[in-house]
Amino acid sequence: MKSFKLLPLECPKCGAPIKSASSDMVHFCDNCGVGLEFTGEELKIVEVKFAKPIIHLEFQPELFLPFWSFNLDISIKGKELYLPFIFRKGVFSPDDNIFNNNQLIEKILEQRKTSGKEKEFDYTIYVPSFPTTGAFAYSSNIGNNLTKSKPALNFYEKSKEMFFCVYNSRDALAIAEDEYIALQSNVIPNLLALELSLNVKSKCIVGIPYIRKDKGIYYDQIIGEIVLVSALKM
Amino acid sequence: MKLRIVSILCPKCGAAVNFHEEDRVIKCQHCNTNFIPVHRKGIEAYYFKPQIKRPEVKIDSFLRNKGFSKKEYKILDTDRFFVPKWRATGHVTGWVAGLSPLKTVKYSDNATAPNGRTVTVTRTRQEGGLPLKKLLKIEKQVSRDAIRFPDIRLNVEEVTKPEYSPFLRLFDEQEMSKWGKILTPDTPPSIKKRNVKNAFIKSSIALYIDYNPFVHRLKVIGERIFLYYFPVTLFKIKLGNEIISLTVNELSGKLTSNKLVKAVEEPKKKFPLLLRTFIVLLASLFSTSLVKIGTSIANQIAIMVVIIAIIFIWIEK
Repeated sequence: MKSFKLLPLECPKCGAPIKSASSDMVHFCDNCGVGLEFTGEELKIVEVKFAKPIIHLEFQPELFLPFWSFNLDISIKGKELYLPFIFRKGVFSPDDNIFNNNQLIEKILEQRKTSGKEKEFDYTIYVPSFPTTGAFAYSSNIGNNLTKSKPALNFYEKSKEMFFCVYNSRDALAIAEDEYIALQSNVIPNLLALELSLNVKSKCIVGIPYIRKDKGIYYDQIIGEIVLVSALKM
Repeated sequence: MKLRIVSILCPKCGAAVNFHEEDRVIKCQHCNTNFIPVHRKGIEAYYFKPQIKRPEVKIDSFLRNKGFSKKEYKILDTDRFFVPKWRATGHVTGWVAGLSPLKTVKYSDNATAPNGRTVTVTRTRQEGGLPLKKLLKIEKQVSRDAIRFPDIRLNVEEVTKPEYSPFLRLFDEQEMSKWGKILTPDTPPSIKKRNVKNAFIKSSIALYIDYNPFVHRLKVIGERIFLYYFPVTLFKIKLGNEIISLTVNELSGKLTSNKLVKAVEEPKKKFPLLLRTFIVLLASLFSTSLVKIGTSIANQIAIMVVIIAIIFIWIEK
């Protein structure tokens, strides 16, 4: 039995050959814009969108860097408790520590009962997935800042050329969880004590537009964060 | 580990394609097609092509260097094996949180005694209990034996050596079977994947073993599992009353034994007792005859002969 086969990298939609870097996990067709995620056994089509600039509108984007975008609802495992509920002011005090107070979750659950069913809302997390010179995307702060800013994105109708993408959705979701905890641990001390459950409602890859204003620095046209040219593995 | 190159033939145009072992995309420079290598069960299996033509020569020279003659050992059995070894890479990422362990620490302090004098006293205080909240991002790599086969001695690091790059090939059961037996790993790939993840996470939290409470949300991302089949020839050898196993590394020719093979000490060449007695007797007779001559030179020579005879006996003893 053969232990190895070679899957030709061709677009399933338009048949065009796909260019890709040796470390890529998601491949983009320059011809029709289709994204193909390698799952370990096969190539799966993944939705790809290219965001329109929100700031520095006078410049045309020079580069689109891929970010995984996850639409999630986040709950505590085994309990009907959606995280957005406990982020409301007054439920937690800065001195609360889940480690030291076993009754805290029960207290929250009790409050939830008395306040009625909380309206669920989705949480969108952006995970930078482009190759950088560091072991991880050194730009994880960019992901945090983009997620925190909750941008109202509009998308181009036509596809653009995307930079290389090094994380598949499984790995990106794992990083999304880290980002979520980093963002929310200011609100809830020791959020890790909760058994979180991240349920993916939808996922796609968003190309975030970048321009080069200064020598050696790219600025994104959504929130204006920078990426050093030298840090990108071209 | 340095990148090693593997060669295959392009399935589209038949041209030779070289790629790095860690590449996720392979490009044929001839027809410009990109390919994704898909490995069965997600395990990236390779083998090394054997290079040593006559391993038995290595056995002979090894045992000769240890002082054994051809008559003193006998090769009972010879087997050629491809020995499997795992290598796994990945990143551990996630948050850890907890409280550092509480401990009682002694320290010295100055205190005023009832008589007004300042004295040094030893006090105790509790330390620790500090909250930890940290995002870990650690790169991990591990190599392990894939089978238990005590007779075969092969260091696991052998499979990662960059100098073996020219002999690295994609797993090919048909080709490999022509040379020797392919040993099956003890652990199935699915379990191995889980074990690797657990081992990576366990080693990442080893620093916090005393923390109480301690929680983590660690995950392994980008993990890759490689399975290398390394060629060895195993010799069963009768050496005196013992049977030993010698493993010949089929790439470097290096030889390892499952038991300590002691070098044979060469016996010292001693004069037989009869010859020693004869020499001493001869020296005594010669000295006596010299003394009888009576000259001072003859006496001195006689004394010298006796001294030499005594020194000879002492050294021999």
